[in-house]
Amino acid sequence: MAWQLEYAEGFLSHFRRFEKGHSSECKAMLANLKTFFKALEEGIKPASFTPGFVHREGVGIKALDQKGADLKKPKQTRLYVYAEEERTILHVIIVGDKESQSKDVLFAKRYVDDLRKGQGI
Amino acid sequence: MTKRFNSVEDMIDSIYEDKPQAKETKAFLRSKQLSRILTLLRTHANLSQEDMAKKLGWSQSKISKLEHLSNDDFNMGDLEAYTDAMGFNIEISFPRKHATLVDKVKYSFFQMKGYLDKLTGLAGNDAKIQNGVNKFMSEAGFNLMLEAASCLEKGKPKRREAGISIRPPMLESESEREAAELLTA
Repeated sequence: MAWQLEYAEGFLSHFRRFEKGHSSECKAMLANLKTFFKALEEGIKPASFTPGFVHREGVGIKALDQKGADLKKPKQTRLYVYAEEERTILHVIIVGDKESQSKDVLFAKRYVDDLRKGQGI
Repeated sequence: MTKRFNSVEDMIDSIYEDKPQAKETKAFLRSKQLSRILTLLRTHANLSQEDMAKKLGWSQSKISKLEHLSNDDFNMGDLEAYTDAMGFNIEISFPRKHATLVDKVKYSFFQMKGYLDKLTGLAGNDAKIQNGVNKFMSEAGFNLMLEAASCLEKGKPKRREAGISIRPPMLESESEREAAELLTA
């Protein structure tokens, strides 16, 4: 299945800032993003892909954590994504840590809400 | 218009302004290739980490750890046990470093021929099995030819279309043909 990735507006600058203090965690989250993306390409439904690094945040949003980072005690970080099955696009929405979690989940939910409204869903 | 990427690696190139850092991140992704395959195999088999842990008599945290290991850190015994629990064997191959795609196609062809010979050998003198093997061979041969033809078609150079093509006019009646001949004479 031909899936594509797309990041939300502002993601790039936010990620670049965040990455400065969380380099290993970011690498691990991107490796987990690769696994998630590969699962979609292999036809696995986003809802049925539930390895330990995937956390459900409601309305189809998944938070991919930093499991696999090459650190003894990595910081708890999350990369928020949304798999839009209709157009086979994996939206990469926002990155954050435990402290910003509630704010990030809210942002991700608003993003998905706008996306759905835009498509009349 | 929002930029879209066909792979995480393409996205990484866009994220990291620092090229060595992008390269390092992509190398990290490659180092997780084996654990990624295991995670996906388990998902395809509809098994949870808990199911796997029960099957193997391991803890769930050991399964989780295994699914995040780097290629270099795998223990052959654990890898074998994990794949065996899902009904898979492990095959290790040693292709030459400088093998070309053509070499690989040839290698695969001879490998396949070996399997087909084995299959024929299995039939022995049993006419029923031989019949089944023959049927399979015909199907496999047909599918192979079909795929090869499809590859050949894709590889054909596209013929350039001329802007205007000039052909003689299509004539309705004999008198029109004669008139046309007179005009071209």
